[in-house]
Amino acid sequence: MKIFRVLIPLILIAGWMMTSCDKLSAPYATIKNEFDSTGKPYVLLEEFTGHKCINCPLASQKARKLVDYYKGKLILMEVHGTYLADPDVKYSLDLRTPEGNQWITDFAIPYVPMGLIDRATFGSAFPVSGDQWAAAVETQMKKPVVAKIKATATYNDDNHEFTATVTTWFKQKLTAGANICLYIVEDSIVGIQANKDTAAGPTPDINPYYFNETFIGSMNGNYGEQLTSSVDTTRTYSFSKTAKISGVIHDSTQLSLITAVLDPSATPKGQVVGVNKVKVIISAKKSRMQGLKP
Amino acid sequence: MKKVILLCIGIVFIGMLPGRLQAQDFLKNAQITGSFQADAALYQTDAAMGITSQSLNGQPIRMNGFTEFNYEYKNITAGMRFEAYLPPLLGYDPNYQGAGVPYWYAKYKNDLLEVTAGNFYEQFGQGMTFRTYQDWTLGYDNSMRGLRVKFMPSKGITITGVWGFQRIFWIPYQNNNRGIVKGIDADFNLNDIFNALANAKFKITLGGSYVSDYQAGKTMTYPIGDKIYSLTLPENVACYGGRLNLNYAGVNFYTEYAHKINDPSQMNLYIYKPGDAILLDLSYSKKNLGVEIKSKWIDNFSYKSNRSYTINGLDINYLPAINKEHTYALSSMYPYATQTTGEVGLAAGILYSIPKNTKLGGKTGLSIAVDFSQVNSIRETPINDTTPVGQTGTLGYNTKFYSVGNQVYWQETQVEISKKFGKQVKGIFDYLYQTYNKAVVQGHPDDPIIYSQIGIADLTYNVNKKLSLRWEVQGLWTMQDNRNWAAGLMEVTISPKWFFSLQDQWNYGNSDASKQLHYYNVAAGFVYNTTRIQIAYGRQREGIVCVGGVCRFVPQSSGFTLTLTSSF
Repeated sequence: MKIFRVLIPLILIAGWMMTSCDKLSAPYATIKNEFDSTGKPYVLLEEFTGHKCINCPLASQKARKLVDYYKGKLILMEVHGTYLADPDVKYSLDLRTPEGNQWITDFAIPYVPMGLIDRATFGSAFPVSGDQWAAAVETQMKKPVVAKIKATATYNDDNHEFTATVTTWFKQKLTAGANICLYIVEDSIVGIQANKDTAAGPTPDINPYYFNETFIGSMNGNYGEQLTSSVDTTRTYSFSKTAKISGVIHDSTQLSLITAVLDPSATPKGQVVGVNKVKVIISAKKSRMQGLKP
Repeated sequence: MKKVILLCIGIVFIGMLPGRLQAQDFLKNAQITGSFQADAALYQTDAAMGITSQSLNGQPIRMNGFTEFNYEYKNITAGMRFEAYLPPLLGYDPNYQGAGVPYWYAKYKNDLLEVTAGNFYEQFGQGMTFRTYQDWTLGYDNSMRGLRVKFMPSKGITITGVWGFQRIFWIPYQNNNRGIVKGIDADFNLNDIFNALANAKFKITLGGSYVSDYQAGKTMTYPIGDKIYSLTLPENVACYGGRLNLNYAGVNFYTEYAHKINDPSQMNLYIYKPGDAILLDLSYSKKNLGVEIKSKWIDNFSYKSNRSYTINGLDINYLPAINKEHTYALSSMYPYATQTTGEVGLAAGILYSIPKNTKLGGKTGLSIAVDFSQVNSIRETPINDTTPVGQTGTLGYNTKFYSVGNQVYWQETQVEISKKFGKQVKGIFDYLYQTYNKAVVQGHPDDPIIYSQIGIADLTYNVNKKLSLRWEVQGLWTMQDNRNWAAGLMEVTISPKWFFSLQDQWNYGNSDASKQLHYYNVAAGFVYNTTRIQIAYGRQREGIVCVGGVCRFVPQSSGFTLTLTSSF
């Protein structure tokens, strides 16, 4: 009997050891099949970044690779914030925004680079570290389409007002209605970016660095406004808004509008259930004049 | 919190069981111990340091605090710790913001068995396969929540099993957001096991451990180069090791070796090479003399229960530091942080006390300590002609056991002389030469290696039994980083209740004249039995603070701080 008292625990321990050790063999990495975008939802990746963040250029590069892979179904918006986005003599651009600062607080962004994917939780937390963006985006891409969006946007160079016209229809009901957010992003803002990865560019700085998809302001606040208090899947919702943004516009020819539809029932301020990006058209005299040949 | 209440109800319920434990007895004969600490700060703007209200994020008043209670009655122990970070002090992870009970446990122990349910801290050997611990200074806590069983079948044998998940800030365990850690450890003291060795001068202990971490997810999408790849992931990552301690007539030898199977993670940029680590420690001590030589070799040995974490947290194991930790302001300016992805180190130290009434020792004797430590990279070679070192999705690199790379991460030589001058005056005099690879240790690529010389004089004058005065004068000289520093301190202690200090660190050599700042600090403290209160006003320079090779960034700040500690 004594021998069984010893043997049984030993067998159990040996069995546990053997089953709790996954030794893998090459190949460890295989190229993923081409992305089939049919029927897939649009997903928003908000990349929190800063021009003094040495890890950010590589993260940004990875985000762009994902955008390419997902054939336009992944929409990227770069939000500058935390102390690594503070301007100083060398890094003089100030790309911080009040909205961005508020999102950093509300979503507990601990450091940059960090991402929000549709403002949904992954592993119980909102912030997603760079190495998990691809996995988190893939998770969202597997979800059914909830809201579809069509939008147009114009910018009046004379009075600095944006006008957005949005049509939305829903494939699924949302119990708490829907909110709509109108965010302006700008491409090709020229500045200096700190960098530590030679794979992403020269070190210790990339100069000049072109900041793309940079969030510069919202047309309707941090979390937008109500589109409808109850969602009806049989109708379309039209929405129009004319507003200025608080941020600085560096080049009005490089602007785009990102429209996000939120499910307001999700904490803390709503989850993205539909997103769309369109180029902003310049509508006023000033730019037409600039465009005229002498 | 609900769980804690249930735990307390459970304890009370057990206490009320008729015929076993009388409730009155359960309360009357029980022992309750505890401790309390609050660290609060009122930060202020400081134009010279570049601290604005914006950099304080509109929250100039901050506090970290905890209270811990432990209840003990016969074989039963239970306890809890309440923590509050409202909001966390600058330099602590903002994810700590909040308050609650992250730590609670109930423990039963008899001669054969010890069972803990709830949170616990545990260490196998030196911790190379498993260690959970808390460090308030670092803001670090990786406690396990689950079950621990210690089995002591006979004298000299302890078998420990652990099963649970680790704490990370306030994030609840759900949806496989971190791994489930299981481990077993056996410790054998041969002198206790075998009667023939019971009285032997030669002491032997040995042990072995096996740990496994389960993280859900067999594949992961990851961009490499221009393409998107699917990485195959091991859901169960095992780590195992053995250790041996020999002791004979003042000589002690300890060694521990650990091996980890493929563990692709953000720390190693998703390479699949197995990891190895070894620690060797040989020491000798006798009256007036102590000698110690230590060495370690670490290859790809970060082991976390969430593979995407790179910040301090969710570490399953601990890799001991072999270099000395310093307490003086300038000698601790460039502290070394263990490089878990790979390093090889050697440290040697000798302490000799020259006896009293000798030529060198004089009337009161003299102690001399000489220490040296160096840590280098390990040598890494490509796995083939076409794959660069460290390529994601491959084995990463090849290395030979105990290989030494060319890159110096850290080197230090220290000479310390301690001397009493009569009955009232005592002095400590230090000289250090440090080499510090800031680019690697602090992750600031392109920063040059810092070569610094440091001199320290520390004098204590015991005026009488109640009053003592202490002075420190320090200098750090380097041509790199912020260049030269000077520091001074004066401390007055009126035993047993009061102490006052005035100190300054001056970056007089900074090449930017506007940064030649004084980091002054004035502090006063009061001690009453086990309670200590300290208030301070001044500036804190930017840097990192390390405990046991694990480090935390400390941002510069200015303002008031208040510390209150107590125990009962």
